[in-house]
Amino acid sequence: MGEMLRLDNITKSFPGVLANDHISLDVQEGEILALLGENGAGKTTLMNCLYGQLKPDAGQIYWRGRPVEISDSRTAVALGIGMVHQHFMLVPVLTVVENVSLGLASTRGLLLDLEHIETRLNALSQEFGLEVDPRATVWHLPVGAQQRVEILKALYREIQLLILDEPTAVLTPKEVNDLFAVLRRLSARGMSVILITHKLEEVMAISDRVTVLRDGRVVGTVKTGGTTPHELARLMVGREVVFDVHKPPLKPGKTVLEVQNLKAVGERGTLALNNISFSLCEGEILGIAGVDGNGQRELEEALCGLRRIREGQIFLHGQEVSHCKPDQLHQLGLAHIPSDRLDRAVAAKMTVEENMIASHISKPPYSKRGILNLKAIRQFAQRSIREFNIQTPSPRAAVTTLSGGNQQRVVLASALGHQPRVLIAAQPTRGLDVGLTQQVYERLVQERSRGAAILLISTELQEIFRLSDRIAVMYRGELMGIAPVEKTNVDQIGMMMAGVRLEQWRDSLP
Amino acid sequence: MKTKFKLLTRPWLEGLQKAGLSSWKRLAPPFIAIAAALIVCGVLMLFMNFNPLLAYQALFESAIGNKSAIGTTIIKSLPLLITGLAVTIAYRTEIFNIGVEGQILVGGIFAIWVGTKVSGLPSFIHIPLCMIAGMAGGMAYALLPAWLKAKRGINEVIVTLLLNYVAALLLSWAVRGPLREPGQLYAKTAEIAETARLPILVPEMRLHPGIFIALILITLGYFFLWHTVPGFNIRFVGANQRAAEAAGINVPKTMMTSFLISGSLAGLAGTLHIIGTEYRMLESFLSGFGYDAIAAALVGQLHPLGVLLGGFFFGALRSGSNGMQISLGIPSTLIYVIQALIILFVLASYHIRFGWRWWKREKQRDVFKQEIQSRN
Amino acid sequence: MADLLSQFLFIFTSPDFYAAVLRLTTPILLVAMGSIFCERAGIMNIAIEGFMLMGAMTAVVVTYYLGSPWLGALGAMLAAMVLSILFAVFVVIIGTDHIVTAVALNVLSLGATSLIFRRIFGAMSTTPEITGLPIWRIPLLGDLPVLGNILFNQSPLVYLAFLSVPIANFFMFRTKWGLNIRAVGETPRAADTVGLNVYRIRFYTILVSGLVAGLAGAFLSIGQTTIFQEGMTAGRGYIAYTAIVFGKWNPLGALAGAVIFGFADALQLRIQALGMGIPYQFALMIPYIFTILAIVFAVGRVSWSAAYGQPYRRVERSVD
Repeated sequence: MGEMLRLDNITKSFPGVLANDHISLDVQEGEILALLGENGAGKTTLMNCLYGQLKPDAGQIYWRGRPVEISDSRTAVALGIGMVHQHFMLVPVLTVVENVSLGLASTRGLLLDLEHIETRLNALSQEFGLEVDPRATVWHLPVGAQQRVEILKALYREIQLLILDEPTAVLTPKEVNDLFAVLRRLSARGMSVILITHKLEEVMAISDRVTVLRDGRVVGTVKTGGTTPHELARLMVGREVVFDVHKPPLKPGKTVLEVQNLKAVGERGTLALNNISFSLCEGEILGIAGVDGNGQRELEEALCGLRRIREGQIFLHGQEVSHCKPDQLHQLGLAHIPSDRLDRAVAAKMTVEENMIASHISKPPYSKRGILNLKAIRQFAQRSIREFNIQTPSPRAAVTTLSGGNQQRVVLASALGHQPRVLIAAQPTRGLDVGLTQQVYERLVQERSRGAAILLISTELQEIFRLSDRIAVMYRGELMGIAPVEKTNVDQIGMMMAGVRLEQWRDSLP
Repeated sequence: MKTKFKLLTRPWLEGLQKAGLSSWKRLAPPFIAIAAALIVCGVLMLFMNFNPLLAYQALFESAIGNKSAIGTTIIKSLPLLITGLAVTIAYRTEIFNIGVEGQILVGGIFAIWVGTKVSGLPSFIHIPLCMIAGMAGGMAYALLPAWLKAKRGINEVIVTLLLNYVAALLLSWAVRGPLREPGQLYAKTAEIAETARLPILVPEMRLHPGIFIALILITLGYFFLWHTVPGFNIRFVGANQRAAEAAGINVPKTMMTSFLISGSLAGLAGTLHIIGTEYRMLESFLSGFGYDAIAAALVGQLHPLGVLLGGFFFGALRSGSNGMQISLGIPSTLIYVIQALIILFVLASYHIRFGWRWWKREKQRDVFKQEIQSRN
Repeated sequence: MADLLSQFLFIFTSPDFYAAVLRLTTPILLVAMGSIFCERAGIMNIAIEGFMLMGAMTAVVVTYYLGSPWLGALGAMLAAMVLSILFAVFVVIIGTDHIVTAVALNVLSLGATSLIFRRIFGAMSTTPEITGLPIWRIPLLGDLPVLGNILFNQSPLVYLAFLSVPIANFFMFRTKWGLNIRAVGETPRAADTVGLNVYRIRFYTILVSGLVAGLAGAFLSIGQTTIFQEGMTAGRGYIAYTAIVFGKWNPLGALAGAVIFGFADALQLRIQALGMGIPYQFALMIPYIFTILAIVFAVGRVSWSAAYGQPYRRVERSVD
């Protein structure tokens, strides 16, 4: 077993951030190395340097002992390095074969030779157990299959080192197991794998060795067999981690949000929400779990008046609001933390104060008869900046100049600033580090104690379990069942995430 | 009295601060763009055997050389100021209203109609009536692209470009057909009634009160964008449409509002030019002024107060180019070249600013690299 | 009324009318086939209007000095390509807004063509005597009754325009370059990671659009006629762009769009020629109205990709 790859003092800075600070690590032949670190620790930056997407400021990469310079991804692939990005690098309107063929030399000159590629692709997918229809158009495929296409695309290029960036975020627990089986097969053939992750259980389950990053530095490299999740967590976060949210016992009030047989259509014209029914009480957190892309986004939008409802009804405080506009819902005390920050939550070019006040701008005291009251807006902004501890030079700074964490605080301030009675919180901690995540959790629990009804839509199972009073699981636009948190467990929720209904699961029990 | 004065001046002071006009970095790019365009154009003139220095001298003199030249410049700037404001307000919603060119014409046709066919009204009714008709015309002509953009998400650029051709044909028809002054060799409309004309304030400069209307509109435009709810909505929709939707802003309504305001301002610009200066329309009425106004708005960094700068600059270019053609025989279409170059340089200047920042960072990085190397 | 209707219907019985449709479809179709590739590569290119105008002017000037319309056409292609290089530098390399840049270039083209033409031929714009491109009568096929005159007795550029449709279609969907272009337009980042050079592909496709648009411009000034007039393209670039959008960025669909607009153009010429009591300005409006109607009724909300019309940057800011 020889050394395949060594990184020596890789350094990369962005304006104001030293993303990678003298990082050194190595990968042996046939080894699965986990690269563990929080969001923002610099994992992805490091791998983008290795894959030729970014140019390191300093440091040297050695490939099989030889110093190499990787100026673009083509070079990386030529050396034998492949990467599966967190956001897949596939062209959705093309077929699987066409995607695989992109950038490859054709045996027929200028003409496409898709049949040839298809044959080899089929052989590869059998060899490694990566089942995929080569002629399917990519956007028709479920996310798990798209990931298999990405892996096949890399294998087709005869790579020896595969980098996977947070591959399990989009998978059900069963699919995760399948993926790990594939990775083991690769390593058995002498290929190496770098697995980028922030999930400790995955590290323990699959890796041979772990390199832990924190704030752009390597804080330790250990053999997986000789460590514990607890030790890894301490390395990763830099202090003892208390993974506990103090949650007072549930005191549910009257029902405030009721959804009956909701149906809605997605972007592609297919049914994205099918017969969704649930209710939500004051002082309760209902968690919606599920693999990304199973209708969570459509549910979020439908509840917030951003997506037309085809059938079914929504009641807010007993009043039907199925076809209400967002501003009417805001009037009724509904607030929204959108799942994608830069998409729906903030207008990055506008100032912090303008973003905070946007959903309340037409109400006194912020405006009277159409004229803005800048003083009142400023006061609200300053109060929120203090309350949410937002690091900004001034309330008039553009949101785009803030860090991701502070942007998320602006979103929280805007959603929670006026004591909402119902809160739709979608992926509220996406992209935040552990410290900030903890703060968000505490804040959500506070709101719950105040009596707010919270719908928490999240793909992070741990988050769902830590915060929710009841858990519902979405699969292909349907709810697989709702269970109180104390009467369920990760296995049960995992099965539901893979499409097994709660009733079926109960039936199958002896 | 004092508070009134404050009310008038506050938006300006505040606006200057907000636009960052106190800092030269923000102010410099338009001037650099103008200078660069003039230099490049000078080189082009050399190639065509014109003397650029003489040309620019003639341009300068007939733009601001004497009282009447200044008068002409102001008169030519007037439609640009108002139309530039129209472009700016639409652009703040991320709507590129190239249709101002056509909206000016249709507004003008409406105004001429009211000005020539309606008679027997006192001035204080006839003049506002013309202005309302002109605004209605401009607004009506913006209605289709506005509706398509707001309700169906169809790109406004192509539709308005095509409508500009249709508007020019409409004008040609109106001038040669129903509105033509009979017994004239050249096709032109009759003059509007005396009662529909704005008074001339300074005869030797042919100045009329329209300039005050323009200045008030620009001030109001600033106030509207930064101090009112619809203005806030317009800017928010322009910054991020989907976030605006989530914040409860009615996006289609906001788009319609800004597009229609834009159209009616363009219509008003055409009207003021008729009731203040020309009193009639020819087929060549304000031809190309819509594109000038876009350039003026871009030079003004899409800020109502910046439009003031851009509007007067392009007005001066318009009046100067006439003099250049008369005294040196340089075709006045040269100003299209200058104008296009200025737009290109303004566009590039945004990115060159980024480039500058990037270059500085690269240099820092080199230093950093050396440091690391010396450490090893 | 009945008289007017019969006059109107009479238009469609004349073979000349259909020959005119082909002739008037040609410039629109050529431009559309030339720029459909850069459109597919993600460039919203309405600067083709300016490229065409530059081509139209250059064709007349070169033909006048060198005496050969073929050299005129070549000159037109090169001149338009120079303009397209400028466009490519701005939108691909500097990364400026596609629409605003295109509008500026169209204004530049309008000013520059009139400036140069007036400088050479004087302000009166008296038409210089030049010979235009020839008509090629295809042997045998040209002698077919009715169809022969409509289809096979045309300018070579008419044949070229219609031949370019299957060629473009083949190139787009059967070759590697076509696939690369589609990938670059649809998901530039993904194309970049597999080693395609997004900038280079976009740059070259814009040059192609310039070359072909120049030729289409030459067809206007030395093919259909032998004169140049200021702004003579009169929005044909925009109409061609609409044909592409109408055809959902497919060559065959764009052909349908171009033929519809060529039909409208032929119709308005006939209506003008027949008089019929309609002011000629309204006849002239027909192609524009047709185009707007096509946008209103046939073009949906869909643009085929989120990356369309956006400058591409290899972002340096993904910290995580």
